[in-house]
Amino acid sequence: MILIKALQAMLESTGLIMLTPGNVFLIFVGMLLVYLAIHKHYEPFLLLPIGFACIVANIPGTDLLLNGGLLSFFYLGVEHMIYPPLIFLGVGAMTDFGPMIANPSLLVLGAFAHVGIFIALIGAKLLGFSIFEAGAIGIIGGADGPMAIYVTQHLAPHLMAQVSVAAYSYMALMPLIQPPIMRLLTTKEERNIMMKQVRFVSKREKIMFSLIITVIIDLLLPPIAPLITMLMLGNLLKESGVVERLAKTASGEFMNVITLLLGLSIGSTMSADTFLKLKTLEIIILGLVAFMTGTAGGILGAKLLNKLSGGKINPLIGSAGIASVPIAARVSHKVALEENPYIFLIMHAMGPNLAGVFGTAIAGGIMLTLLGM
Amino acid sequence: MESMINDTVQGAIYLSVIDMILLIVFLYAMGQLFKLFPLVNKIKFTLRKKGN
Repeated sequence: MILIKALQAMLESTGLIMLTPGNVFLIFVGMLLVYLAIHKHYEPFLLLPIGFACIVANIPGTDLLLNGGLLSFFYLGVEHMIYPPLIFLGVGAMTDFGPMIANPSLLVLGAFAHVGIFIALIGAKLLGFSIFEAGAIGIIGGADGPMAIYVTQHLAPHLMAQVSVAAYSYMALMPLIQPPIMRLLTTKEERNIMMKQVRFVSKREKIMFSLIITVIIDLLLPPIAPLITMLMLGNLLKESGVVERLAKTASGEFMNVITLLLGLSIGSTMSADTFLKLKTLEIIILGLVAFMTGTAGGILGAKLLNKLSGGKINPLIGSAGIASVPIAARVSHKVALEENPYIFLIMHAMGPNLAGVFGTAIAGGIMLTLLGM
Repeated sequence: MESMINDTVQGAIYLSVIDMILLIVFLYAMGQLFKLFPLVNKIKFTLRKKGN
């Protein structure tokens, strides 16, 4: 009798009796994310910790997610918007903005490729989301994970799990989403356009770039000052050449630690009670629409610039105007290479790709300002 | 700070149009600014020449 009671008490202390079918489903989703990261190499640095945390978040009975639990401490970095600017510091320290400075006429492609943000925003509003929720959903189309987290935390923190998972999943799937749209909207002739080599950008120009952009953006768009400040600080560390150790740390181990904490924090929000809702499906569909229309917008914008320049711009670089660096630029390069093995678009596509980083930040900053944040 | 945009479909359209236009203006202006960047190298050259 005592043995049965002891076993019953032990059973009650486990998570087994609290396990719901929703939990089981999301444990499988977490395992799928881990599989995609390991087997398919889809954004493994993010999908692996996200998937693992998703599994853990759906095991009831632990105090990991409760107030004071380990994952709840990690999540403070998202809640207080510490991780996105720190990720931007690392991105700045590892990025060469030369291709963007060298080809300023392509900067506007970073705007055309963001049309998806606004289509998703209007779509979300039509589906009954509030204007704040719609803004957070729209920003998925920027394909910039830290920016999506930053804007969502301001506008609709309760949608953090859905928005961040959609943003990072679609970023990982860009090599599958973009090419069919790129081929559909361009002719064989356009895909074969060879572009002129971009000019050399000096160290002095790159240093001036970080300083001038910090002053201008922080002055004009204060809501995104934390992100742009850290992005430009990271870039200044890299380009100055006098603090190599700091630049190496910011773009190396420090960035890895923040990426790990960010991935675990996002994955920990995927518990069945918050994630398994009709809204999640709607957000995931809207996110896909944002990515597809953004890609199309970028390609059509590049076609327009190609016409205006007298046929000097390969329209395939337009889709790189979506922020995700350097995935979108690599996709442009790969599609062109499949068409003609002598076309190397990577450096040309990096220009609009980097402009896309600023594009998402500026679009988000304007949105936050207009919505009174 | 209060929102300038109404929580309606019309508000969402206004927000999108204004944001898109301002985004194009911002990036175009940044592009124009970058066109001036090669001047930075010339300033350096002039200063060195004067120093000599």
